[in-house]
Amino acid sequence: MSILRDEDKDRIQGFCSIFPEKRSALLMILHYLQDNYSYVSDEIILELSEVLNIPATEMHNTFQFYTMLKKKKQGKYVIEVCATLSCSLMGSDHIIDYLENRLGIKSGETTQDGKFTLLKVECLGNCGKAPVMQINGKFYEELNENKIDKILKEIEDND
Amino acid sequence: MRVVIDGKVLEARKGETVLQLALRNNIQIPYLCYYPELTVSGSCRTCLVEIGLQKKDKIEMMPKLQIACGTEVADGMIVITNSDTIKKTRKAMIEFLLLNHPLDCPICDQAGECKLQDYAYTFEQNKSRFSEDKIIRGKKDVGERILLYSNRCVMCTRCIRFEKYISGNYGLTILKRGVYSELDIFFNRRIDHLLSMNLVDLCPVGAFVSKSFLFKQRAWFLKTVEAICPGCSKGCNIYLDYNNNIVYRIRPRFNEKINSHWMCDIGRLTYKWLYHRPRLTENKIRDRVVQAPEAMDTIANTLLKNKDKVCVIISPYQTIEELLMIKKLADYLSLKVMVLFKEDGKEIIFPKFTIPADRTPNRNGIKKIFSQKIEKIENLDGYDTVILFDYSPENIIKDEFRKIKEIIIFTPFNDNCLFENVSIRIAGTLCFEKEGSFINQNNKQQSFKPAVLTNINEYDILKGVYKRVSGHSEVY
Amino acid sequence: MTEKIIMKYEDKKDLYTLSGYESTGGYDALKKAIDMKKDEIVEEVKRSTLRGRGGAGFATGLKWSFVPKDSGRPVYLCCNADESEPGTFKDKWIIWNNPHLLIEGILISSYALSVKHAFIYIRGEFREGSEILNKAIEEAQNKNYLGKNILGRNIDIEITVYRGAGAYVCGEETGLLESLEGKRGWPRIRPPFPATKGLYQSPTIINNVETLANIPYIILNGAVRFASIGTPNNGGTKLFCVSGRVNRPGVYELPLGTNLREIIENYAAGVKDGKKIKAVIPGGSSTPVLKFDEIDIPMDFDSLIKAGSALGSGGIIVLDEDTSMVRSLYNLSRFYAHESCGQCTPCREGTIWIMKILRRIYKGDGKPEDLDLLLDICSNIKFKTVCPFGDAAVIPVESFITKFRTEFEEAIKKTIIIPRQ
Repeated sequence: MSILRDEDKDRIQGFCSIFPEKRSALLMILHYLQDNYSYVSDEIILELSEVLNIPATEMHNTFQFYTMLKKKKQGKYVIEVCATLSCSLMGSDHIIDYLENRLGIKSGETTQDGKFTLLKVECLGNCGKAPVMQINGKFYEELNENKIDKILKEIEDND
Repeated sequence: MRVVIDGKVLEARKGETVLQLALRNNIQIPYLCYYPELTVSGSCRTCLVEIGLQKKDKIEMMPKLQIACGTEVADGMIVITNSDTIKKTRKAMIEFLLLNHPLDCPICDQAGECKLQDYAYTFEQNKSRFSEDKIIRGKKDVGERILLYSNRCVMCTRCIRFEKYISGNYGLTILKRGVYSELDIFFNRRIDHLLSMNLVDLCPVGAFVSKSFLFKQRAWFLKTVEAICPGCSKGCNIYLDYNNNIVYRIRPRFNEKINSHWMCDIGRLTYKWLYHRPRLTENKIRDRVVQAPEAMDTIANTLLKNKDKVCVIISPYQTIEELLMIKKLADYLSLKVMVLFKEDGKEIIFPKFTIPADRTPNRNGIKKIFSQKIEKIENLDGYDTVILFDYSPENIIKDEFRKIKEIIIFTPFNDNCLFENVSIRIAGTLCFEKEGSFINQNNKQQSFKPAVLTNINEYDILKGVYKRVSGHSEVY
Repeated sequence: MTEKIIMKYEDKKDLYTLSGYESTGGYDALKKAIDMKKDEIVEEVKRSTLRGRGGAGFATGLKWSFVPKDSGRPVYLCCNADESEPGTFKDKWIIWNNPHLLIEGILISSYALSVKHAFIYIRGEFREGSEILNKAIEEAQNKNYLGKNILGRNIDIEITVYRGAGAYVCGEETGLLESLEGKRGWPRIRPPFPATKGLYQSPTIINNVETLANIPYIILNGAVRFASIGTPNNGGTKLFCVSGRVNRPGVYELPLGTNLREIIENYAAGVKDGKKIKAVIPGGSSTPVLKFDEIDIPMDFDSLIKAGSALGSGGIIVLDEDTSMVRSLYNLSRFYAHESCGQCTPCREGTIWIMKILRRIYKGDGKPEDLDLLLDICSNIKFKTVCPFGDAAVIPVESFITKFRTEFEEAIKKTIIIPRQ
């Protein structure tokens, strides 16, 4: 059974056409697939291999290298809290503790309802606004407990 | 081009690397990720050396250590491989490689021929400063004939490069990254292609092991002879690894023109011919065990009595030497000669290796000795007696042989041609049990030596028969 | 107050739009450049003493001149926007606030180097940034600043934004190229260097965002004026990123050679809660830490090298008197262990070993011999890896332990309690 839809295949070919060598498009394609399917399964890699005519192991090998490319199903909202030095100096450990308590999960886990995944990540490159986190790729800066409550409430309200 | 390594002036070839030059001149530089015929990876860092370049009239040492495997020679280059810096570096690299390497040498097949183990001894890396937890990875059944102990992997990527460029199978991937990197197959697609066991040779440690060799024998007990693979007409050069008259393993032996560093899995398992069928070890007339002279007399008498109706059927598994003796006998008595051909298989083509369709080792030997006119067995009508040399590893004797009045068979296998019309059975040897030679598909004659010694002497019987028939007292 | 180059119009709210950018004289440099000879531009950049702003500080003009003229292959320009060095967030400022400046810089550089296809390799986490860049590229395309027949001339340049996917090592030039080719970000062994064999085995120039953002100014105002800002052979301004325990963290554009203490005290408004400075990492986590009494120093490439450190990316991280050096170093070592690509032995095995020892010390299980062991591991990694990542990873370890050895010894003896920040 095919997972990729025709429109996916069209998009994939479109990405390939940007580059002198189609394999270059791989990260673009994987980002796109992750946005649409929450994570990139082995089955998707296998299909992609046929679409692109590139050995599946070559793509899988690339895919496995990158931490942003998810290997299993993620929550609807992926919360990534920076834990590297500048954020850590500004209290990122407390931010992670607070989020773990609020969501009732440990970092690395997803809430039972599949809504939130909490991840502790390395430097997000926004040290001037420490402590920071990203939710689905959007930055939230200068965090404190109140701010987190507000952010989570907003998500719950709009969900 | 002149290159000086550790004060020794060497003549270097353009385009070769420092490592190749050193190895060619017996200067030992450790290496793990380098493998001839594969692209340079430069990742294991064990071959780091100091390099100086001729700049006008003085030598300028490069500020950083350089990898010998990835540095091309240049005229006037100075290489230092024995300084204290290099000694410390090598020891350090081995220490790094051992940090997360399991200390399972006692149960590892590779022990005794493991590069990491050898280097650990050579560079005296005998004490660990690592008191943290090791990272543990699993054992994986990755193919019909091979296992992957990913815990022992040192990430040299030889196997990955082999799978890309030599087999073209792209069977391997790496999970994760950094120290958690782990070799694996993808989506349970096992590596079952016919070059799979080369991964075992390539692997500098015991990550890839052969199922057929697993736990069978410690490497240091094995003795080795140089031989030729009997699996097909390619004539891959091989090593036979044996102990106490038992062959345990076949490995490819480098031959640039024939098989490079590789061989196929079919050939690699041909040593099992020795053990996969019951062997005929004694000569028999009917059910009675006889000594050689009686066998010779009986065969000679049969031939002389009835030579117009005798057909000799030879095998492409026989050696040149055996075929020559048969030729002498056949010529003397003007006997008809046919060949017990084996059906061609399919030619199997990999990017850098081809398995030919002819899966017998010496068809060209037959062609050369008996000329092109030799024919396949088609019609045995009109022949009363057949001298059948059947050395095929598989039992391929067909019912048409039942029609013959009398069969004299030379064969290594006891289950071969058990028809009532078989009068004499002479025990034969397999190529692993004798000296001899084959002529391969490119008409190259290559000789081999035995790994297993037996009392079987079918060649002497053949010679004795010829002597009796011809009346010659000496035969060469 | 000296001249600013990149953040001159930082208060302008619509700077990120094409019209906003044009109203500040944006794209005038491009118009001027395409009337210049290509070699003239390269010469101008050489004379400007512009040095790479990504960390290594290599002379930009010289780097450009390594591109062979007759390779018969296309030349590629890759803008390195994989800003991942802990403590660094200057390229983020440019991308979010002044994307057209970067695009103009890329266009001028592409023209000078005969590049037809330029790439912006942006770290995957900068999803918003990549959207901003794509929007800006679209705007510029609509006004024919890029694409086919730029400004009616026989010049074609396209720019593709390429998002990484979470790998610090892809900020290393050849790791970036591998990633851009759709592979693992495993750095390549050199030679060959990217200038001769880079992307798709073709000549390739890789420049940092901030480096390229300086190009329009150099073209418009000339190399001499650019070089007059800063210190000799360290021309121009630098975007300094200040983070850590300061009152006003942020990006400050100041001439190269500005005093480090002045940056912290005058611009970042000093240390939080009136505390004292204990140490400062001057140029991103991969530069040797400076002690509180070493920070009266001009922030330029050469001065910091002389002081035994490096300007790096200009990411200044301030550690105050309450900060634990043990905890901070453990934090950084965890970063490097996480980001090691795993290709070569010393880095793959060494970074995690270092991290595990430091974690042990941090948790109170340190052993007296650990510190010398750590330093020895560092010396076994340094200069022995495929790429500079290994060197980068050991620099904080060596400098923290050497300069703050007593604190580490106390942690091992458990005479101090390490606070959670």
